[in-house]
Amino acid sequence: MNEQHGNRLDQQIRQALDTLPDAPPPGSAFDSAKLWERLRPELPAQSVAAQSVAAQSIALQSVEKQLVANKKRPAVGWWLAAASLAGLLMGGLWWSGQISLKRDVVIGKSPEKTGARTGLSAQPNLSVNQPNVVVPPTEIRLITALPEKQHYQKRQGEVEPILAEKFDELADDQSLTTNSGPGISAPETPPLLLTEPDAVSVVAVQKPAITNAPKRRFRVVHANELAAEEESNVVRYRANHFVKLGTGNAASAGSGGESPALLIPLNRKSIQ
Amino acid sequence: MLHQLIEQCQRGNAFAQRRLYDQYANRLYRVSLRYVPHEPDAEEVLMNAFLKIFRNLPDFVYRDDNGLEAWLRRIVVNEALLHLRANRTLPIFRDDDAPEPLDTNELPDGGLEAEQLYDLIRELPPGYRTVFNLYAIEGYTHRKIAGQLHISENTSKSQLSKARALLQKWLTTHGYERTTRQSS
Repeated sequence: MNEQHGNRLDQQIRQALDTLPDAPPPGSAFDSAKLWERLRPELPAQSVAAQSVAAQSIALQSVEKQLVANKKRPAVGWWLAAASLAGLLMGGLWWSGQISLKRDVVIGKSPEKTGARTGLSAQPNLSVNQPNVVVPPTEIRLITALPEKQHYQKRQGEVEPILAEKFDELADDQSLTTNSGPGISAPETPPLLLTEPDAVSVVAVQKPAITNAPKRRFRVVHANELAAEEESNVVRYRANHFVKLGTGNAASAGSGGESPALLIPLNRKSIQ
Repeated sequence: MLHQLIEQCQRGNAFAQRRLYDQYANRLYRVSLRYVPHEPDAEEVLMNAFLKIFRNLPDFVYRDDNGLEAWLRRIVVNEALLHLRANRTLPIFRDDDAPEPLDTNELPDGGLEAEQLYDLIRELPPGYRTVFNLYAIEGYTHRKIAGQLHISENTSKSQLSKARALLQKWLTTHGYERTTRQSS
């Protein structure tokens, strides 16, 4: 059977099948109504789903229309948002600059660094004769808040005369003073010197500087070291004895030996 | 008319769905029965096919009545093939048990009775019947048949050739005899 003959047979069969009636084959038990009854319960869900799809498409169309309408409006909202954002940014930058400036003053930063930021490098910022100016209000607050306030005030009388000499020495030391001139600027760490008797207060003063400020170099001095310096200065300048002039025996004085009667030990407690 | 019916079905109108079902149920049942000879199975195939029809109807673009019927038949055929695959009743195509093709160009004279032909097609062996239905009636190509049935194109061609030979043999001998017997 060649292909042409087969195609002719196929065509004849197709033509014959096209004439089949719209009914089940003879002898078949097929009932379309029964099948519809089985089919119908599953159809409403689909039709509802189709209706929901149609409703969703309608809703989407309305949303698209709204979007198109919004596109036509000028973008005032975007401009407002951008302007407010820029304002917030500028305010934040200004505020951070103010905070850093205040911190420089509080910590007693080196004048060249402070001047580079603030433009005050030509002015001598602190005077040796006014050591209390260096102490910022915040630091004073910290110190006075300490429980050992009375102890600090009691010892302050001892420390202050020593500080005057200490500042003179530090002013001569170029590594610890500024370049503005000898005797003009304050030492780099006057707050530490003022608060050195109390180690707790030193820590309390330094904490905000460590946490907030960028890296700054301070002279790290141990409390014991400061105490040792203080003691040495006291030993150097303290008058342990005083000489009583104009009394005593001249012969015994010319012999070279000191008369015990003329050399009287200084008893501070008795004086004070 | 049919276009409006389709539009109503696409909107989910249950009455229109019933009308569409009534219009094509018997015709599509015959299509199903040509692939799946067992009647309950053919009903199940038809039911699943209608579910797919109503599900996919919103995406259907109506052009003409012939296009709609071809689309409906294609869904039924695909569903029948799925059923055959699912129940592992897809024919096993073997070439050894095939009858020798008839070397005759004789065709039955006169008009072939439609019901007689329909019954003969259903009586074909599963492999012959499936390939013959797909190629001679649905108009599939051998490549497409090979893809659908996971066979080679040559197997599809040989199955078709043998189906034709068997049909011609039945038509020239048993068919007429049976027709005569049935008519008498």
